[in-house]
Amino acid sequence: MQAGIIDFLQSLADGVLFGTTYAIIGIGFTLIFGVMHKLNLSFAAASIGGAYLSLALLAVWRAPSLVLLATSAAGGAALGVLVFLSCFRFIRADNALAPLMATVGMLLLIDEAIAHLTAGVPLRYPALFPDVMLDVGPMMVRSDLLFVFAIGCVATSLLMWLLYRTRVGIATRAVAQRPVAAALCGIGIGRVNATTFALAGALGGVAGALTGTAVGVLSPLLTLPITVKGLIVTVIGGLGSIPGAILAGLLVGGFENIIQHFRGVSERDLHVMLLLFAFLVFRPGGLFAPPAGRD
Amino acid sequence: MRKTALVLASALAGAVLSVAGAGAQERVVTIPGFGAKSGVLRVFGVNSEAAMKAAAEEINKAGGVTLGDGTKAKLQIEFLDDRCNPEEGISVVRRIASTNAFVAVGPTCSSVAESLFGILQKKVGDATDSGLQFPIISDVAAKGGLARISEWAFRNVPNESDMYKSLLTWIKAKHPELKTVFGGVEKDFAHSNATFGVMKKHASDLGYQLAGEAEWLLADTNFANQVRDMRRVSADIVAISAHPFTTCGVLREMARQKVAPKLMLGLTSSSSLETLQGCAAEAEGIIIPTAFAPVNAEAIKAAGLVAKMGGSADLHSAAAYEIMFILKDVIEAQKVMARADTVVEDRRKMRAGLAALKTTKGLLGPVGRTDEREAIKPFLFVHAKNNAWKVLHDPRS
Amino acid sequence: MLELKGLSKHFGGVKAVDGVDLRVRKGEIVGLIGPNGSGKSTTVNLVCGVYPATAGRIMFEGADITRLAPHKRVRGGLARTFQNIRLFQRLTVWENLWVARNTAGQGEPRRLFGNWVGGQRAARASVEELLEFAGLHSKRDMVTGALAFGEQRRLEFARALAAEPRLLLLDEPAAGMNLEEIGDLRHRIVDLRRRGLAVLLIEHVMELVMGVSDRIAVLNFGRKIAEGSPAEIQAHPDVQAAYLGDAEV
Repeated sequence: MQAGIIDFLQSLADGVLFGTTYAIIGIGFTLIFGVMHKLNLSFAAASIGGAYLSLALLAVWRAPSLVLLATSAAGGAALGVLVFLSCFRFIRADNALAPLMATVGMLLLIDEAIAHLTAGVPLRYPALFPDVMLDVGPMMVRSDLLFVFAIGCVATSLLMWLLYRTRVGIATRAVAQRPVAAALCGIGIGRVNATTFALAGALGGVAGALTGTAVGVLSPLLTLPITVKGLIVTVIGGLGSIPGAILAGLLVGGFENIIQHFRGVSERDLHVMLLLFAFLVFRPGGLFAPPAGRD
Repeated sequence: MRKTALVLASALAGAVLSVAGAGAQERVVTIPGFGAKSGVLRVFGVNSEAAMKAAAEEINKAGGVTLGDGTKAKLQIEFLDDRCNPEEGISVVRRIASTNAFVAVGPTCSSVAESLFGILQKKVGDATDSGLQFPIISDVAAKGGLARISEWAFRNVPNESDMYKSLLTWIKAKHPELKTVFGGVEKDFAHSNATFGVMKKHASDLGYQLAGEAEWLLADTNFANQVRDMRRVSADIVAISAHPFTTCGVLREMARQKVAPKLMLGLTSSSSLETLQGCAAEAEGIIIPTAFAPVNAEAIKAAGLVAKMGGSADLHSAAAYEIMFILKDVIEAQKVMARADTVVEDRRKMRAGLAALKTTKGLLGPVGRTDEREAIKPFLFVHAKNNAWKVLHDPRS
Repeated sequence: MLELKGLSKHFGGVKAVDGVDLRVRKGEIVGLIGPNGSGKSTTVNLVCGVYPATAGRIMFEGADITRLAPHKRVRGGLARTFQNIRLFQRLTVWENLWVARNTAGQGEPRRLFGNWVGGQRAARASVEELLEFAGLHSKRDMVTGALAFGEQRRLEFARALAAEPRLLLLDEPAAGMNLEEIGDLRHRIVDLRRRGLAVLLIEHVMELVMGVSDRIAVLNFGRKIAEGSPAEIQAHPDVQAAYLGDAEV
């Protein structure tokens, strides 16, 4: 197929817009990593879980989009706290591998719980935003993805505001930098970490709902690919860097769609992995490696 | 006095024992099933199990199955999870073979069936072949020609090649003005990939021009590129060989980009509730050949019974339902004893009995059997209309 | 106010702190000295709760805090500074003080919203005060990592005070300071006593410790070998023996 410039730009635009969902998941991973210096591998599953919970609400009440987003965020936050309690809170901090494995366990648990409760049948997710194709010159742009992008920006800005302008946020950043010193300033580390997990979980829930609305259905099929994408985005963006995750999300989204455009689906994931590999070799800190420094 | 008491006691004991003996004539025979009961394909396992249980209940209500020694036995279903994974499937069947079971129903996935049939003894009576000697009859795994792999492998699945050939022939006759076909395929799943090949072959044999092709993966969520190609080509017919998740994704994108072919064709497995639940509006009008639809009294009754057991009846689970009755007939015809000491013999009998069948009872009508242990199932064409699958055409009429 | 009873900390076979008894009364400045490795820093870490004690008890204002979590001890009126500065390097000066200030008074039951705004205003006011105290008002929005060493020390000191402690543990605050700075530090410590704080001062700089303490305790190999007024300690033969080859006056 001849790759005209317009086709290329169209693919790029589609990919970048879809990449917002990757970016938001990436932010969640990176936030937890920044605070706990551990990866929460169940994050994407909990995000999708939050979206499923909003579907449960939909079963009893035709709630408006904003309420569904809020419910999904609440569900994600609840699952986040659950993961924190089961995988991090009561495991000794010096045991590096145990929490990671525990989060893998939670990922599988949430995945199976979803498959079990829904018999694996994909469930229709309502369009939270009007879904029309806007004609932008010779290109077509999905209006709902623009909304996804916008909501993503809003959620991220909200998160940044929380982190930099509120007591909770400053305490979170203090704990991230020097946990022991923070405790000796009277900050209850357990509570702060639980709050961080809840915040990241809420963001994840929003990401889950946005993914649901972009894809049109929710299915347990989504959890693993999104986990992988989220991790790739986090690593490429730089573990612990929020701007990095945003940029990397858009980059990966655009990149994979361009590759698919030129080389087809079979090679798509291969090239994304190669991109990750390239970063790990040439720029292992990611796009924005945050400065090191902790107790 | 003592003597009388003794006589009375022994008489009583004898009476009790004989009653107990009569009660012991109430036997239970376990028929194991296996398939995908976890993960994204869980619905297949759920439906198959429900269908098997529904049929077993019907059989039991009518008195059960008569064993070789004249006793009646009730059927009991035990369904195991193979997670649509070949290694797991093999391990599950080995586990089943170590019990007293003499036949098993499954698997769900063609990839599992292919590997599994491969470990069975290829030819009966071949002393040099140490393969498993255990008859398996598949309800769902539909990739072409799998039963050929072993003489212990049987299937009650529709022949997709015949179905699509018949469908395309009928469409050619009914709509001679439609000339071009655009095909979309879920590339990383054995079934959809194989069926796509079948669709393409018959389409080109019938003189259709294959105007273009698009590919995607089982868990993909973004189809903008593929549908754009579709739009550019603007073929008369769009044929989608994919399961409900991605089929709905593609259909939704087509609606978004305003791609409206004159005719849409789908994969057999997508003629299910899943598709309607995911995208009934966008799927409106899509035509799919199927080996089951509630079009006669028996089919309707079966659908109801399966639903009561917690599943839904579609072409896959209906096959499992039919299989239970086939097994009952074979058990009775072969005089299977179903005892712990007759296991090896029972398995041989079941295999021989299944191989000897020339025709079985199906919910849509009589089902033929081939020498290669496959089924010749009657089929219909259904299309999605108003959030339900309605019969479009019965090729037997 | 603070009482250590038979406090011990064993790391495997090493007895870093071995059966130490110590008392700090309200308004007192107690110095804790000893050669390197005598267990001074470990003692401070035990009091703060960074390490759990192996044996013994820690009483603070009459309550047994031996098993209490570190952040609860701070909220209860304890604070410390670190030998190597442990400021939050990527937060601003103001944020470092703010984050510590917000835990003050949290030993009391949470104030409801009505008081919250007022509480916020009061908290901000005290952060301003602390900025003045540390002489860093003009640099309040600077990232801490960019401050000069002396400025960071002052900030660390101020941050310890932010939690409104009643007992302040100073862990070698004079390390790396010149004579002028030490003099300034001495005034600040005396000022704390005037405000009603008690101070436990761990130091190597003898001039400072001798000049400012009401009492001095000496540790060696984890045990307390002497306790008394500065004059008594200076004349004590065991203390001189312990420091032989380790003199730092």
